[in-house]
Amino acid sequence: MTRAPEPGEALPSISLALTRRRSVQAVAGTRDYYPVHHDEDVAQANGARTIFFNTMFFQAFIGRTACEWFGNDAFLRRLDVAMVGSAYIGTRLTAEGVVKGRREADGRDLVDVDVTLVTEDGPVVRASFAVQLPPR
Amino acid sequence: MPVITERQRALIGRESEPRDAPYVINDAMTHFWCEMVEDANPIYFDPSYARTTWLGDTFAPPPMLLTWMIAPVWPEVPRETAISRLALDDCPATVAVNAVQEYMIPLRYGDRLASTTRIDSISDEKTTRLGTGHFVSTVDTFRNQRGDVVGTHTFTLFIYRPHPAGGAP
Repeated sequence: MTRAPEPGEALPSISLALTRRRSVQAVAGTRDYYPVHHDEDVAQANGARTIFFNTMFFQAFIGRTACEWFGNDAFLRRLDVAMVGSAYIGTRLTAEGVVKGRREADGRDLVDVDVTLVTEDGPVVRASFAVQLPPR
Repeated sequence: MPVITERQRALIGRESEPRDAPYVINDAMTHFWCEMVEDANPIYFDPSYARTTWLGDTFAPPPMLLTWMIAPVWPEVPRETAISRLALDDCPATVAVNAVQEYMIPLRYGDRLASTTRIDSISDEKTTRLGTGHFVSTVDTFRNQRGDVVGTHTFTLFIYRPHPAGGAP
């Protein structure tokens, strides 16, 4: 992003297909071997519909969106992720972001953003992050 | 147990001994992370780009903090954790509720992290749509081999026994 972010501005949505293969990649990528993220039987015994994605996967995805929205050399400073639903294999995960504001703190040029991750089942994650823009 | 015990309450606020990450921060594991979410940011891998930026060089994505600390799955070494010390033995299931991470310093390749953990809070027993159990918050602090704090991770978990099948309210 080369222009200044405006409060209230909606950011372009970014989405990922949550295939079974991606759930395997998520174990390899995050190293979270908790069985609900790769074993259907255990997931269902825990009250889930099927295999669902872990918190670190969502943090990784939001980390990606932060730099796609604000530049490859923007640096994520804070990420707050609240789990409000489950992202099951076989759905599509979409990140929707809205700029909350821009502020200066400790000499840093920060943009605050609210992000919701949704699938066809509804919201999965309500998140907010602060990303630092490069010094001018 | 409906309310937490004195023994559990005594664990709140105590900082654990530091534990070393099993692997140094490395580009192979970072590639696996980026492949997973299709993150093509060149700052993680391309020094000829990264060195032209204010960040000075390549680094691993900030949210990888916790991944660097995960112990090898083989050979399995039983390990006491802040959560296992709570001995919520009647609550076999765990689900994440909220996670807040703060990132102070880029995770540079070749650095080795160490982390300490403390329990911030434990709730009395509560019932949700998933089951009955306790909300537990922990704070992990991550340092590099120079002792600099690179980040923190505050995690709230619901540790519970699931409702019997078909019996969820």
